[in-house]
Amino acid sequence: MNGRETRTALAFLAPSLCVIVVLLAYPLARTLVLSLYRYNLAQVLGKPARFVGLENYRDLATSPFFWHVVLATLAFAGTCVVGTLAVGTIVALALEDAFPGRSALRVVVALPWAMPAVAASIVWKWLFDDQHGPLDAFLSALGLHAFAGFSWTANALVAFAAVAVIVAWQTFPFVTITLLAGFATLPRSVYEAAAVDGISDWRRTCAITLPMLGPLFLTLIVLLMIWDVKVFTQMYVMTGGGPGRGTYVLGLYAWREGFASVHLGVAAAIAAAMSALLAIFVGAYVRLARGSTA
Amino acid sequence: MKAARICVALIAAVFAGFPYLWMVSSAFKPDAELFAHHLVVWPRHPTWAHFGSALGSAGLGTAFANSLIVGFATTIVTLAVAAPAAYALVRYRFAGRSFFAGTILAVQF
Repeated sequence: MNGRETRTALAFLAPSLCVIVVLLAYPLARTLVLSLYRYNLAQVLGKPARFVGLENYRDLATSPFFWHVVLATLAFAGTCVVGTLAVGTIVALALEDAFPGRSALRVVVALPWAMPAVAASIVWKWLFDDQHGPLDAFLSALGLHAFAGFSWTANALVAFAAVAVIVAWQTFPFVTITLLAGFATLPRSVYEAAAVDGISDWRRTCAITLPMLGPLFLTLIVLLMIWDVKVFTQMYVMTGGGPGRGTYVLGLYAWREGFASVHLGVAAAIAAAMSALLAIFVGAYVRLARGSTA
Repeated sequence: MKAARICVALIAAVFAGFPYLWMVSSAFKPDAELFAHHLVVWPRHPTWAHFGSALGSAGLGTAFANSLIVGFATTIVTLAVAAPAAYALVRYRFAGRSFFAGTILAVQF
């Protein structure tokens, strides 16, 4: 390492640093500054913004609703992570060994990952529709008459569950594909030794495959947590935060405060709080990712 | 055991594929079948009418062209910016290298 090499390296890095500063650091800094101001409709229309220090943060910290949304977001994200991991892992194990038609099924199973979140949410909103949706029709045809005309968005908990299904549907292929790639990296010798010992399929999965992929699972959990804490699209399309404010998550809350109520300072404070929450998980992810590549 | 795996894989395929199937079949259903009192799984009188209005009044053509422009432009700019950075991080050892690597990894969210 010498000065010349460092200069060359920095020259190569300069474009990406510019992008990071202009598109990330600047908006982030602006958001933090904005969160220290009262910036409502009057200020948007030209009145000078008033510096209020940490007032927006203090209001949030003393608002029971804010803490309710933080907890709801974490609980919702946690549920989505568990559901997505469970479905993704089971499907990966089902597709682990060759059988006729496996490659076709692998493609079909990967499809949800390819659909844009807005499109997927609209399709699922239609599937969940209480008047014209196939899900209610199917369930009531099974004899569950309580589901005839059942609204999936009238009760907050049910609505959270419905949105969790959409999120899990979209993300489980990522888990499955990652795990299938992970299976391929495990040393054959261990499996050969186990086969000599006459191990059962079940024991092979629980005692060898899954434990050996422990680090991969850890990375998956952190990644999914980051994505699911940030959830916005599916919730916005499916419930819009309703019934009432029953299915607010942090992203939706910030958006509503900012662009529906025009409390931009408060919205910026929520966004800052959300970023701080996410930073914990992102920090964990960066550590894990470095550990596996360095 | 093998039968169980195939069963699970098939159920997963239905779960993953059904929304696609419903999206495509609904695209071809005339309004009367979309909003029918009883459920219509497969269109009985398939129609291209919705595609016509998507291309016409809904402006799908413009949106599609915009997507392509944004997609191509983003790809080119991203490659132009990221490729030198990747080269620098792999090829050179310099002060702050792991800091830059960590920053780039962290800001992807």
